[in-house]
Amino acid sequence: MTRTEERLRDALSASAGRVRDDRLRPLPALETEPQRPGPRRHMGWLVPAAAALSVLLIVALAVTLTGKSHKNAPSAGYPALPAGFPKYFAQFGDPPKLDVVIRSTSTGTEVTPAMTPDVPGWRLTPQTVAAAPDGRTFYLAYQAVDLQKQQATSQTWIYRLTFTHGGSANSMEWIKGDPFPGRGLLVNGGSMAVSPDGTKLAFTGATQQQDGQSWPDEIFVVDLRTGVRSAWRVGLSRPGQTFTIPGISWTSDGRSLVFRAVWCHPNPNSDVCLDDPARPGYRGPQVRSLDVGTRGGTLDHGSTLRLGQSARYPVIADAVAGPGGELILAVLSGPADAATLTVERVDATGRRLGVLYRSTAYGTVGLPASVTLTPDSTRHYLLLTYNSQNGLVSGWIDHGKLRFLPARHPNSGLPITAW
Amino acid sequence: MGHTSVPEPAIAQPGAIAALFRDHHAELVRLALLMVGDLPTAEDVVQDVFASLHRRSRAHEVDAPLPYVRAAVLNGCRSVLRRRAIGRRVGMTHRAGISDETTMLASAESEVILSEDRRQVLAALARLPRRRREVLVLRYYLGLSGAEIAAVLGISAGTVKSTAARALAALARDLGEPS
Repeated sequence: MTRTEERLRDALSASAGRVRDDRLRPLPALETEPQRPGPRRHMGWLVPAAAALSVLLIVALAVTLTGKSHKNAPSAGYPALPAGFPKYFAQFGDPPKLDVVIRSTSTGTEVTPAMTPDVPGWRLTPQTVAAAPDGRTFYLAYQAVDLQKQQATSQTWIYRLTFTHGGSANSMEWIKGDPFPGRGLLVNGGSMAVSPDGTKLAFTGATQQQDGQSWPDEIFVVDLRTGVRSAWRVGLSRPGQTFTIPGISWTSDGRSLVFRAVWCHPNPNSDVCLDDPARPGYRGPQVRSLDVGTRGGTLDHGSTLRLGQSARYPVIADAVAGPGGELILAVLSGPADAATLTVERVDATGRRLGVLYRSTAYGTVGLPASVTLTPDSTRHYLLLTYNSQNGLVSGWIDHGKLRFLPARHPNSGLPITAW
Repeated sequence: MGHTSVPEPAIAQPGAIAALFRDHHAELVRLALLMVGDLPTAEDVVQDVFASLHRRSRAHEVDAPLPYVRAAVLNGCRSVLRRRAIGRRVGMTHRAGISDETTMLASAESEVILSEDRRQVLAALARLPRRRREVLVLRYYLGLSGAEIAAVLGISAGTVKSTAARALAALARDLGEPS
């Protein structure tokens, strides 16, 4: 190799080397629709449910994994993540190894693992993850089962994962305030969210259990600095139906939570709860606000109705708080074979303010049985959809397009729960 | 100056595209960066390529070979450089209306301090004709063989060899070295 070649190779390598994988803009501007998997199948059996299908996808994350000691919680509070800053998302590892891993949204590369704590005498199973506003701190909730006392004493243990130096160093700390009471199940289908200032953590819990399945029906808010907790439960139940809270999110002022209230019917011997309008006593899903300024109480008195399912919004598949006090809705509409999924901004009166994303692809590839919106601190929205034909499709909404996450999805589970 | 003709293969399913993106995104951005000189444009070029791949995946099957994607990225870079040239000709501004060479150097300095030696080499590289620059980048950055470069650029292996030799000779002259 000549001197010129050596210099050229060195200069090219140095120039290219300033591109850091974790700072690349996340995701290509891919088209919005998930790929149709093959010949179109007859979807007629879905039609009756399509008018108001809102299924809670519940996937049991089994398998034992155990973990580590508890430590004092550090103080909380974070600077907001600036727009365009490198972002990460949390994903459950492939079964049977269910550790949570943090990946780069640019490349999908594993940045750091969150090893399930190994606590002698306990079995911990990861349930849900929430990202803090700094984008470098994640809260992980585990179902902790006392191996000597079995299920009756299972609890929710929540850990904080922080990582630095591009993931080369991380720490897991048990946060103040837990274990949390009740069955302790943060249950699949529930959710967890960090307040915009990073000082509070809200999550759903379960007081009810039917046919071996638990359904999220209460809301906890814990102050991460002091460990003081508040809880809201009961008051919204209806006879003959199972009340669930599939998702919660914080308003931008940190004073309220927005949650979706669903009354559904669990499928026997399954982990699915079907929102079935054909059932007697059916009550359509609602979007409600909960003022967290109090020390807890009942859900009916503590919360107010923001929006109900209606002809305009026939299936509210998910709802989160918008940045200006409005709601961000994921709405399914139309017949099963020509369904449209829209993500739109809606004001307090239910008036549509704008459409963030629209896809008609689901009419041809199958209605999503589950739709999840997750806002980040910069108010971008991660959209997860799932149906049995296509599995999971995940991406974030950017100027009307869905930019796919570079994530591998296991065949089971809801692997991405935070970003 | 037209696009290099690249045979269009059938395109991968979205899963394969996602895998391609995951495995080669950074490499492709670096390749584009070396051609267009600034990172935001390089990322745009690569994202456009993946968006195009994904759109076409609906109608095709089979796989999306990496050479094809590299070629598409280079085509995207050429389009960018052409637009810049047109912009200068008609008096429009494009990123302050500076030349490719200046852009490459300025952006290079923005994140790392390149040694003076490297700056000289990159400046000389930027002064080469587009085809010669592409051949050198593919060979000395990506480390592609003559046959692989030929596949990417849609030219013969012999042309690759002669182009590389001329490019190196020109680079050496510019740098004041014996070729």
